[in-house]
Amino acid sequence: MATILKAENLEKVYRVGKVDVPALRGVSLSVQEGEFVAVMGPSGCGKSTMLHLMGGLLTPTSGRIVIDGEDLTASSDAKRTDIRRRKIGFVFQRFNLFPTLTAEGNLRLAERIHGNGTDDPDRRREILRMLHLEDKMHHKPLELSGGEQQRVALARAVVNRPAIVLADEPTGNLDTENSELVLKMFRELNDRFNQTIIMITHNPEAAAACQRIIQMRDGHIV
Amino acid sequence: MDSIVVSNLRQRPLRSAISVVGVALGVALVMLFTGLAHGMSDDLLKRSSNVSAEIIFTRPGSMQITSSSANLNTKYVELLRSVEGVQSATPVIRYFYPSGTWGVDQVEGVEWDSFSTMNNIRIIQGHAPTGPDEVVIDETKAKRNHPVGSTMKIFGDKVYRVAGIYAPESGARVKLTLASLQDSLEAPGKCTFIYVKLKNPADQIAVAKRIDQQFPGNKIQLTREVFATIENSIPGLSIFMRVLVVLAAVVSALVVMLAMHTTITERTREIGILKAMGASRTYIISEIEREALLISFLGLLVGFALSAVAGFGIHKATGLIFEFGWKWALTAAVIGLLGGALGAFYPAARAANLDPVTALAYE
Repeated sequence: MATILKAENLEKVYRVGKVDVPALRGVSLSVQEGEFVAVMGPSGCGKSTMLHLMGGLLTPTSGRIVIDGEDLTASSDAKRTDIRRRKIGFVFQRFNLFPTLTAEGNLRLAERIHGNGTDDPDRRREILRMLHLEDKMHHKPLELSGGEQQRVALARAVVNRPAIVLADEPTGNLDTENSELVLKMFRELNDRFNQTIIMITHNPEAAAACQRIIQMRDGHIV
Repeated sequence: MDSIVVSNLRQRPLRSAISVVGVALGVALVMLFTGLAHGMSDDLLKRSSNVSAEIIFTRPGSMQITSSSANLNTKYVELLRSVEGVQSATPVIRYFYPSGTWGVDQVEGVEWDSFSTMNNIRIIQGHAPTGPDEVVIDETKAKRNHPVGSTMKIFGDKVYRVAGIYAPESGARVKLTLASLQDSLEAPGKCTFIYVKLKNPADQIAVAKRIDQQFPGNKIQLTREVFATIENSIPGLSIFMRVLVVLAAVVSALVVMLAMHTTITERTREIGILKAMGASRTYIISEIEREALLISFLGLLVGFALSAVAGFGIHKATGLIFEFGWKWALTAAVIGLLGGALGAFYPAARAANLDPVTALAYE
């Protein structure tokens, strides 16, 4: 399997007032294509910072990140945005759907941003069928349950075939039943489409669904 | 509905409506003021075009659209009639006075027989003015509650009786006898200008030269040239229009800027989501600009409708004429759209430069 993500000696220091607060203290890891990786650790250990760095939403203080052959850390802001557009799908704890758009509108928006208007209805239908969302397409987020909203968010993240899905506690706002359902969908995406997924979670049961678990503490991988 | 632009507008109908009305006010401001200004000047031009005289004889500086002087001796009437090529001459006092309706109004004092004969004006109801307290008015004035026999106040509290209605409209809508106006102005034997009609209109240049040679020191103007420049003769009108256009553009831009600034603050988190999805700066700016342009376009439509309704209402209430002009409509459209686009640019650029992680954490 090819390496889809490689992070080398990542450091991230936040400046809070006049104080430097280190969030990552030299993190290195490799993720292979098709891997489903869980990242666990206590709050404040640097999980989310690492995810934001891998998604190009933040730039590291030092270190290097290469995604699917493209060096994220050597890229300009515009280039990082472009890499994110083409190669990364995000799933957030709070779903982060556009409340004014229907489920279908949220998916189409992702397609528009990705492909400048290109439309792949077959891909969309396939994803929706797999996530059991065909009959929810014309509902707005507030008309959907938490589990359904997260499945729409997942569909939005994968509709453009990203190289990696980065999920930040995707079951954190869901009850047990919906958590299991969403995790099942993540596994199916990983199995059927060989989708690479890196998922932050506090839930050991969720982590157990992954092929590999990375433990973090105080800005280090332990 | 999967258009983020349209759905955003529908999500906040009151904010959207206020923004649309803001742009509409800017557009209506331009349309109304320019429409009324052009309507009024065109109305003056139309009324002036019913003057048959080819030459206007006056004292230097007195024959302006806003002139109120009566400084020309009426003895020139007879002298002009004796000039070769002249068919007739008739004296007129044009007097402007403060009016409660739209700030200023005008009357003309004429020798009715020679004036009406020269300009083919006829009395269609009642009779010509004869007494010192009688006036005749045109049909437009008559429609505004001034039937024959009614009274009207001129020069403040002085009461006049409507003796008749004349047609077609020509010059001031209210006319009284020359003697009566001379008396009111305490200017016996004086007038503002003298209309001169020629035997052969084609000779107007030659006759004008002849008059100038015989009566040097006076001002001889060709009627066609005086009336062609009516609009330009109103001091500061074109500057006023330009200032108005700039003001309207500023109003539109500020309204849209405020609306888009508010909406972007409200949607900070959504902008963070867009950035996480890989939306470029250009994409975010274009989405916000599209929303602003849609608001501006709706504002344009409402503004045109508003100005049409207001123009009609003002005409009904005051008699002022509103003239819809394509040139100014186009100007108003450009102002509305450009103002909206420029107003939205700063908030759009601000949104595009938001830090995505901070935006995603926005509550």
